[in-house]
Amino acid sequence: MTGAVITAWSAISACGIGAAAHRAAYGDPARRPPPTPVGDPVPGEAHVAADFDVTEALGPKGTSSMDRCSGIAVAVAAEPLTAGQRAHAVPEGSVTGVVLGTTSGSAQTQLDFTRESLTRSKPYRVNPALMPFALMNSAAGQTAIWHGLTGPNTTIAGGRMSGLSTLRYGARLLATGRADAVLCGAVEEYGPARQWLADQRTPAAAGRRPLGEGGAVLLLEPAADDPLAASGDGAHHQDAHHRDAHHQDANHHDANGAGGRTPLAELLGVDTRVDVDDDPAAALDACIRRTLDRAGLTGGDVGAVAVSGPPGPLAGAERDAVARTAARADVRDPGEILGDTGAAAGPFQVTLLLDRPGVALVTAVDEDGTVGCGLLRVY
Amino acid sequence: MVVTGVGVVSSIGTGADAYARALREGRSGARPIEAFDTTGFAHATGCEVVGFDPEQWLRRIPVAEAGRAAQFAIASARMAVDDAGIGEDDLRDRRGLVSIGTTDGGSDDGERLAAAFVHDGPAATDPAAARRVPASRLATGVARDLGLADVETSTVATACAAGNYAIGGGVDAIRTGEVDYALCGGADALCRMTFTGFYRLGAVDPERCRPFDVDRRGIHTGEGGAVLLLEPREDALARGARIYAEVLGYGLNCDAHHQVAPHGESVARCMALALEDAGVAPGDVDLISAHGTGTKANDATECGAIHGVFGADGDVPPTVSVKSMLGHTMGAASALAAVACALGIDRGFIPPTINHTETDPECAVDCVPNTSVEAELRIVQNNALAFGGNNAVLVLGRPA
Repeated sequence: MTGAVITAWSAISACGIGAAAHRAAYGDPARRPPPTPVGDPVPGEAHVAADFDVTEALGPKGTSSMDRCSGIAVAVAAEPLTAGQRAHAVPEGSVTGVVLGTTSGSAQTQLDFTRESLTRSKPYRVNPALMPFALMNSAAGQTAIWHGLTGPNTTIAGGRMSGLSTLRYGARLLATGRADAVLCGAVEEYGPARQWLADQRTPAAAGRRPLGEGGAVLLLEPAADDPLAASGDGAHHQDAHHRDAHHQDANHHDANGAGGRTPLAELLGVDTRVDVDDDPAAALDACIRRTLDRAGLTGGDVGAVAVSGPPGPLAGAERDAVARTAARADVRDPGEILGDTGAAAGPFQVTLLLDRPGVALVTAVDEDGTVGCGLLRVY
Repeated sequence: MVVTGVGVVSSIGTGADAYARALREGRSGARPIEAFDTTGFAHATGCEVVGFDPEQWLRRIPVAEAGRAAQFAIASARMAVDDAGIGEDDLRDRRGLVSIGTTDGGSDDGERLAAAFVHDGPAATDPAAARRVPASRLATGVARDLGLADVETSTVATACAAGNYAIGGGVDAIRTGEVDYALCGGADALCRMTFTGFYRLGAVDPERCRPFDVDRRGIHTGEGGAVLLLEPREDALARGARIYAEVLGYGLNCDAHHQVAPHGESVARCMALALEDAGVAPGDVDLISAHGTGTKANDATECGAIHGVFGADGDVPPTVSVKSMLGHTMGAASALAAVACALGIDRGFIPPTINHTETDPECAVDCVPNTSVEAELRIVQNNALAFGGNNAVLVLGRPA
């Protein structure tokens, strides 16, 4: 038990802007836009968040040099922080942290900065406003500035493990009292630079899906001592009546759960390992079994799994480990809807599981050799 | 919780002993930058690591698969484990954490790829380099090269405060009982992009890096790595380990104010959070290892914040900047400084702030100019600030 619950979320992707647009796309294949061709200088097709424009979303001030990673992060954070999703105003003096994952920040800004340095009359005649946006912590820092969040502000370059890493780190910030609430998530922009790097890392023949752009954030808060006791719900019972009552996050205003907000899911545990034996399926299998065991559950209890869908043969290893440990679960893959969203895949996986009450599992496998899983009880 | 091993790769010395000697002697790592082409810049002094041989440190990961920052991280971690007197096999039986802070990660490879793209278009490819770019390779590289399977890994990319962030991550994981040990610190390789950015901002000193000096003109970019091995005190005592220092606590916050300009009040708040977490009063602190970049804005703002927390001049403990010797090693900086603090506590000295002529009245601290001093240090505070308003302050103490 991490003692943390997810109380709100939002997302931006090719499916649209906001939680409602994503719920609609998840529920209805007709509302999932197919990948579109992206042209010069690096051809390909991708799931670009075409509805999202940084300046349109955030206004002209402070955005002229802002990268899409930071823009998406700032914009996607707004919804979970506002009263529309939270039943009560944030108490005075409460500390909100931001923990965002990435692969390597805004590759496009880094490329553009280098291009300016190499093509102008002097190597230092670069746009100085670009520099902070080229750093990996730009998205988290900008999110704090725009929303006035003075709590711990951490960027974890976790690649495809970012979802799990940020949730674990965020839960620990809550457990140690360093924050009262933490926005956990990850963002990945689309641009020719990212496409070019991805093309090189995994040859098309090895099997990979179009890249996807977007970001998703989850608001993590401490569970109340007895999350659902206030409404006489008896903690974790999963009877149908209360399931229905509790997952209507946007409209449900019971004064139960964390800080008076209705939890959508409890984070039961996170476990990750490093695959040092060149057998990612076995390493993930070990993670899943240990996580279930610690929560007093078995593979048979898992109703749904969301996989991270890494490129190449790792995708098969991930599916194998899931099949061995949670054979009866409904397996979902956000990549089929959103494309390969890289670091953002993790938080998107979680959002894809929140519609179905019960025990749910998130798995992740990264090309860098890390594997892991997170266990949720969805209300 | 205690520090029982340290590993360092730096421009002034590699390994705990060489590094401690260099700090005590006030050595400078500054030299003309050779890591990248500096044509067209009016000046290009940096603190480059010379003579580093990755083959000496990497055992499982082929050198060609690890970027320079990852190599620094792996070398530092391996040294820290050796220094702690624990066999890598013994670590494998315990649940651990590897957390490495970085600003640039694999961006040195990234910018070379970018240069190829600019010159030759997308047809220019280097798949091996492209695979070295993701920053997660730093922490994962340490775990893979040390053969540690049962570890949680994170590469913390909180820019110039990333080292302290990574150490803090280790502190909390041990405090909550989720891990038995933590290998944490930071690593960065010299990066043309970072140098160019600071240069363009007018924040690179053309001569020498002189924090707190009235004539200071900026940073020198540097590179290196540092890793500390943290473990619960009981475990260290049980195996009769040498204890460098106790980790008393740390604090984190965000200015949420400006992208590049530090906010004094918020920096002061971060120091207060760290001291509170450590359970010590400002008057107990014997030494501050400042962020001390040597830029006009940082040093004045940071020293103002220090005065805000510690009071009038007489109440402010000696406040030094090891960046005067190491340059600004970005994500490695606060980890290298934390090791300097641990060594100072263990060996009874305060590292100096070198290149110092006259203290800026806007800073008004005793920066221990140019020459180290012998001192019994009980409690030491290590500051780190970053773009994005990311602050992290670590507090170490003399082992009880």
